Amino acid sequence: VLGVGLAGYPLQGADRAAPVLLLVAAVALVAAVVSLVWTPLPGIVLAALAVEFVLRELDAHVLGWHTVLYAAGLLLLCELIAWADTLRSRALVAPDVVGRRAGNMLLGVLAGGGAAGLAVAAGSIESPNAFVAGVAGAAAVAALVGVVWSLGRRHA
Amino acid sequence: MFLAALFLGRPDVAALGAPFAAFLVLALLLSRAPRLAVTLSLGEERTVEGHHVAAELDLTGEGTLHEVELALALPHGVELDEGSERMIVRIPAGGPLVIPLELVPWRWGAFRLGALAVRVRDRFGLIAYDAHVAGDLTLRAYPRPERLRALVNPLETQPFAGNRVARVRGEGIEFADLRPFVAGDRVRRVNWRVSARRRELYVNEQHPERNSDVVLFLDSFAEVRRERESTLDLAVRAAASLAHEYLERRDRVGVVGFGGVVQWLLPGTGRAQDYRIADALITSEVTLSYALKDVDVLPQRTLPPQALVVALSPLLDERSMRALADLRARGFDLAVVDVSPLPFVKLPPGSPDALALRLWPLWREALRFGYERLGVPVVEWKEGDPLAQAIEEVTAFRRYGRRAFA
Repeated sequence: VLGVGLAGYPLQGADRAAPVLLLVAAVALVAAVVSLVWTPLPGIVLAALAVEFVLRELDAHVLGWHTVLYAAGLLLLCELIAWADTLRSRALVAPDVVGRRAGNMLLGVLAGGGAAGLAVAAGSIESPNAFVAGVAGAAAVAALVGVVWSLGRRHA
Repeated sequence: MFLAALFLGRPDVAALGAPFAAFLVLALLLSRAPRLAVTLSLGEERTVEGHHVAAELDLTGEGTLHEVELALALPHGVELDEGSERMIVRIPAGGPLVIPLELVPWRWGAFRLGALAVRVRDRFGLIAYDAHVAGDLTLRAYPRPERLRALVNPLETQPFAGNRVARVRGEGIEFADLRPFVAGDRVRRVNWRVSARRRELYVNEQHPERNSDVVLFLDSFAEVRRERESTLDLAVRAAASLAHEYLERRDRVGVVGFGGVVQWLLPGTGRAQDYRIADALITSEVTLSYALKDVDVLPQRTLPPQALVVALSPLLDERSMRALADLRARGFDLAVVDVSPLPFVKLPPGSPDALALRLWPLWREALRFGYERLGVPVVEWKEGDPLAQAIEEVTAFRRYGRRAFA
């Protein structure tokens, strides 16, 4: 349901890009179905839905809070696909594991939604100099990647 | 996503990647390397196949472990009564989590238990730590015993006291014959009624109570298996039942496992020997071997003179068949229980092997006839039939059949 919602949202109000969006949405949905019934393909689902959203964004501007919801929805969908793969085995799952995992997932999605909101808010800051804005954006991206890398190294 | 946002100059695109980055940072920040101790304990280490064995899986973690996935590696022959061999649990901080398990060894054997694979995931399921725990517990499941009222009586007895009435005459209870009194005879053995009638002293002679040596010859060269049952499974159950019953009658019982790997247990008596035999039998297995073997590979003491040899064989391998004929030629009192492989073979309709399957019983019958001409009783024992029936057939052959072939 979530996948259909995410794939269908960019199609609303799409004009020239509608056929392409439809194709990409179909790819995303097929990948989501394959993920649920056979093998997880969250990368393909994520890439297809993101491409669809970017195409829609290029075609017609999307409202900021819609972007936040869409981004949080993407994260939730990918997490659900990953979780479904964990539960696909014939393992007996304790009920408290399910409850806690769902709670933690919700926490992660809320944090992700907050981060998306921050990104949207940061994007709305008007900069008189395009070069400075570009450098600031690149620095922010590099800083984020650096944080993730250093944390990942700690666990490796 | 971020690079695309930079290139396109669209901050909204970066917002799509932000939740993933935030999730990653959050999960990595909160994740800690887990410390977990897993212990499997068994309620009992010895049981009979088919009986339930209580077990406990103790999990002790340092701090809360949000998602611990356990995969029990149960050996072939053991299963859980309920539930799955894979489980996902949460271990709370401050106390061990005890998972009760109910194990059922559905087949006899010595099983190594306790091996399991553990995967601990962090609270978001992002990072997983894997470990393997080696098993160090042994569960011994003994074959289901079958009560036998009658056994194959050995033709010869040994000089030791036992429960069998020997053919020879001597000190005993069972009346054997009368003979004239000779110097040295005890007065209490005088038969006064006969002596009065014959007007000279006659004494009673008795059959002494002796024991006998029984060797159970288990053919483990080949087996026919169908899902959970095989001819070897049946043979081992029969061997265990026979050994127990012969030992109850104070006979000396030994075991020879004749197959790819030759095993033997010298004849002995008593309860300890019963356990020794059971322990030896549950390690029986079919080991593929092309080596030519005959009874010469066995130590002499495993086959005592005048011993009764009860062979349990599916009569599938030439080497075991030759060994049985060899034993008979060496004068052993031999009886063969043919653990029939026929019920284990099921062919699909229209199979080209159907003709061969029809010829096979005829070939086996001819084989049995060949043994019977040597004076060896061979009885076919099929899955589901009581062992007592096969034993009774052997006894009947020994009583009547041998004369017919003589």
